Amino acid sequence: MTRKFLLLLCVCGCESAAVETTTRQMDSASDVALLCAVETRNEDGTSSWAGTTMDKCAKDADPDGTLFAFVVQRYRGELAAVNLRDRRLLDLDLRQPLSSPVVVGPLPNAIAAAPDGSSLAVANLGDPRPGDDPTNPDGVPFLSVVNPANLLPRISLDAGRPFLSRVPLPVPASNVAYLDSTHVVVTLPDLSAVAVVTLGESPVVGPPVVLEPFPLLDGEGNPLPGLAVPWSILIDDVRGRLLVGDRAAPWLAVLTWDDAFALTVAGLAPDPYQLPGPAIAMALEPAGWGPAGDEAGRWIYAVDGRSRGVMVLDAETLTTIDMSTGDPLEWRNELIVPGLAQDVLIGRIEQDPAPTEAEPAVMHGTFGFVVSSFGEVYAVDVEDHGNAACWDGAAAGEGNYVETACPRHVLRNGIAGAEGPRWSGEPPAFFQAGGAVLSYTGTPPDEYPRFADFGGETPEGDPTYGVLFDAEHPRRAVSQTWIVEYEGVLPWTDGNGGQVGEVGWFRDRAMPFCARGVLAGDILIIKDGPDPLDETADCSAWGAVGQETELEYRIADAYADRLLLETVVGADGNEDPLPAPDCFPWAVRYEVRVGGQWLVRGESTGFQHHVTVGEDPDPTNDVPGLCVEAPDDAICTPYENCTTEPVDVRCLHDGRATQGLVYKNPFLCFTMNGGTSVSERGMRWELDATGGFAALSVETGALPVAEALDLTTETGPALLVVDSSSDGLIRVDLQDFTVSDNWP
Amino acid sequence: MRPGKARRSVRFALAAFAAVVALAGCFGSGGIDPPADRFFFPTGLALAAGGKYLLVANSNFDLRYNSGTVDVVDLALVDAQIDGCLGRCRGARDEKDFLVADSTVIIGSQVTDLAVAPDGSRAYASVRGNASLTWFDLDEDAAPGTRVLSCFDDPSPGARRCDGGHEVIRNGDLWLPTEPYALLVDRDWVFTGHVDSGDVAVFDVREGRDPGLVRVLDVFPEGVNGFARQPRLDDPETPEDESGTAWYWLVSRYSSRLYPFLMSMESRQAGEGPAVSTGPSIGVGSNDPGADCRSLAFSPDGTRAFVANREPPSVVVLDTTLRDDGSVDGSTLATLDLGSGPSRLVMLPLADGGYVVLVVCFDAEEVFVIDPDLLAVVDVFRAGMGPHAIVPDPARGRAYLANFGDSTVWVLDFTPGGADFARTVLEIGTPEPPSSHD
Repeated sequence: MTRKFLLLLCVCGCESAAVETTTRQMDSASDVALLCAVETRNEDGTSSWAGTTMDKCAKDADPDGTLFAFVVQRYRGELAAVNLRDRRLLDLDLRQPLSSPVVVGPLPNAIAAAPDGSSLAVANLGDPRPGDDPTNPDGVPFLSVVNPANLLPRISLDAGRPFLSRVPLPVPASNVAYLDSTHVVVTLPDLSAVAVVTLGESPVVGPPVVLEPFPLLDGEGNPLPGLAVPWSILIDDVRGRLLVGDRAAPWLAVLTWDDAFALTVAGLAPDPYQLPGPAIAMALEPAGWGPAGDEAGRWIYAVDGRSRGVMVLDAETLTTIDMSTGDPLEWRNELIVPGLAQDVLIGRIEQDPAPTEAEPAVMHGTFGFVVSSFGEVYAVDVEDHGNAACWDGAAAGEGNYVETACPRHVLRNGIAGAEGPRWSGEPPAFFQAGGAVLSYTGTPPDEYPRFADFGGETPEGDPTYGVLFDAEHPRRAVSQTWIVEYEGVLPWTDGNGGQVGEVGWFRDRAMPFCARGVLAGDILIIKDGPDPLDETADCSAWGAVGQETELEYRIADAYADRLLLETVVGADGNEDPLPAPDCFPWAVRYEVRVGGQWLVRGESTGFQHHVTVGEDPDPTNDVPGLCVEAPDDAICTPYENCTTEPVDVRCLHDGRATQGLVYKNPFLCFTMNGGTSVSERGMRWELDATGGFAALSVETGALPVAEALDLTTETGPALLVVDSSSDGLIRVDLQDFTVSDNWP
Repeated sequence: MRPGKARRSVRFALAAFAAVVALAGCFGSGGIDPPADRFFFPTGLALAAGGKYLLVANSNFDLRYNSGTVDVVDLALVDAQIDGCLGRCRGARDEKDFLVADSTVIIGSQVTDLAVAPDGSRAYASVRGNASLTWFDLDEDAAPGTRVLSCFDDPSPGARRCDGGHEVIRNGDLWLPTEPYALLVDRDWVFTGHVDSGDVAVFDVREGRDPGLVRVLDVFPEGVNGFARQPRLDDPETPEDESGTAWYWLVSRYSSRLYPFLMSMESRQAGEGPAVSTGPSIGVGSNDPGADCRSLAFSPDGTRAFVANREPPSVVVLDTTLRDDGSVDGSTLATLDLGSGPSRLVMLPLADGGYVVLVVCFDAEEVFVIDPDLLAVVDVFRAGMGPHAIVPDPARGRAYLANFGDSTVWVLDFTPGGADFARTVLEIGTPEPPSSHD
């Protein structure tokens, strides 16, 4: 802005110009709720509105309801509404210019709508200040309860209408959900509690149910761990239970309620109470969507507050489904999306008429929708609807791409036709260490190493060049450039603070060698020549003083922050003596190369390894444990061929290919055979893979945080996403999974 | 003046300043001497180690005067004023009523940051106008009538310019790069980050020596914008006060990564002073694109980093726990939306043992209060015009906020459970918005 101004000032002098500006309608949107309302024409020409059940917003419903999206704005403390039928932002406060929202409370964090549409409840995370508001002089925290009938358009002509009531709470609430149309449950993090609020003329706040300390003991009489910061709420009314997730604790509290809506703590889940991470947002598959048609919701999707992936839970047992067993790309046990998962929903979408072809962007079936902080929404096939054969509920398996045709809980592939991974039109190019480039078109010269010739062709007719993708399961490939380099540099091992010690020790306290994948047998290259403090010292064995060089050593042992070196005949044919501290008193620059192996690196997926620091044999000294592979070679035995499955999925996380042996990682498989000439450091193949898996997504602003699903037949199917940063409310049309409207 | 109009004027002032610099390229030659009893475009705040004084660096951003200044605010007078108002004073107070007479020092224009050494004996300022690290002797126990702050040999009272010995611009052939912006002061080292080059200058202040420029690092991305020292209470090998083994981190306005480094005199670089070991950087994995990191701070135990990011405006929370293999976890825990233009972020320990993170948003003119347990914004309040610098005062349960645009300093209360938590309890300085150019 300033630069542009300056440029204008320098070049043009003063000049008037049209200024484009966006009239902001929403700001820092934090949550959205949908509500159906019916308009009644009065005899005097006015209209009145009343909230109603969602089925009244179906096409041809009688009475004919209108669906509204209510959006709370965190930092303004306001509520805005959009009529989703005519796509207009409502002017809720005619006393203000433009389309004006109304004030509901400080830092509104969550909003929910009553099942019968009679009210909206807003959890305000802000603690009101005493004296700021004459109507709340003591600054009592409150739950905002909005009467939609008094808020909707025509009634809003009545200034001072009683659209909002405040229910005093002992502390601010972080979340809210309806148990029924007159009872809501709120999370109260400052009390480590939840409470039920009975709405009505005289609202009643039930006694907070404290979850830290947890009110139950385990079978042996020991205290169960509590929920210090209860945050998310999920109501499973079919099973008659309420689940509460914590901001930090990786387990759920299970509560029930009685006829008087008094809460009872039933226990912790799962058993043993350990999820991969805390559940900071949850969604349940609605009841009646399973094969039997009348069962309770089967799955819970929960945002993991630690990894910010999405955990998939069996809604009956509340245990997580291990997503890592079937797909190496999801080895973290969860659905992982770029950025951080912010919110998740599950919905069944039925196009009318049902599509005949399973195009990626056509939503027909049961889906999860994950809002990512990267400004995207990702679609998950709760039950695979990537092909029409699965629409009727064919055999399915959780996250398993290998054995079943219709996997469950998989990120939807966004590639039309799902042609599967294959080479790009450009064949691999061979780079010699000297810089000459050879193409793999035709037959590579015998003297050079090359991929083993499997002798086959891909279904597209492309030669395989001895590198295989799993074409049947496109999620096993990523479109990216692969670099396969002999004795390549391990990524992130170029340091500048290496300290030379006695008898072959080399240390850099800033470099976590194990975490970077360094192992014994790798090569350390010191790039700085000797520079002794004593000018008379003879350091000529390491080259000229003060000059750049390449001194090469074999790493005998690698530790977390240091290496033990030994001499080796280097690539230049010389054997450099171990560096002496007297000749290397200063910090030196260095890098680490894999020793005698091909380093395999994908530009997107990087260098993969399963190196960790081993047990420290002597904790009394400062030498940490050795860098070791876990699992080790005893478990990660060589593959017989590319169809051999690893004994342990972690073995697939490997970026080192040994010449002549089958190499396999989650994405590709090959064997690099030597040529008639010895492989030289720096030789590399560089190749592009295309047609790999790309998750179906749609861009929704800069920092989306929440979503709601419009499944009505009048205005849906659509996803309503709120972006806290720039775009306000965004409507994603689920007919074709594109943004159809937004209210910034 | 309407706020929107004022903001435009601030931007105009920024642009005008840049134009003047480009065309003139000179400072402090003639012109009007700066006042010794006024704030004018304050950009730096620092709290004396003993808590007696608040230092305010005035940038002279519109070049109204020939120099900038550093004022000394007597916090005992601030305390008395607040007590006299029963905890909350209404209306602005004249800053001259709080300044220590005759302790103002004159520095170059365009000071960007100010910091006090851990032992409290010195303060340092990064000054763009003369591309210097300017340093000051600080005597909290100065007798009445003697100087608290000085940057010259003459100890007599009165506002005077720092002498050349207190403005480090070179060491032999090693020159301080232009545009010093970020500043970090530790026991043994002082660092300046340079926004136009990405250079980081290292000054040796070990054992109380005068700051000497010993290295200029050029391994970081352009636009170095913020530094922080990571407490390593989880690492018994790194005591809290051992700056020689401390991890330092920096962020850049042109990068979406955090860059760690270590200093070492034992294995110093040949001919280049101390050795600097750069560790693997970690990425802001939550934001797209995530570039333009402006400031960072660590939790008291060093296991979490909070980064103010502008694309989009947010605070990104990263897990900086040290793993067994010596690497930093680096996973992103949360990204919290903010108002536009986050510029500075500090961690404020609270009297109840907890802490909050405060983020100043320059464009939105708001301060956001983040609860690290909830990982949520729990308070937002309006600042003055163009808020920028902020410094915590844990002993008093306060923070001080400098409003660049209207040349004021506000006192914010953070007494846990207090009625004025996250509220301005005193406004020091007569608001003086930039003059309009419309």
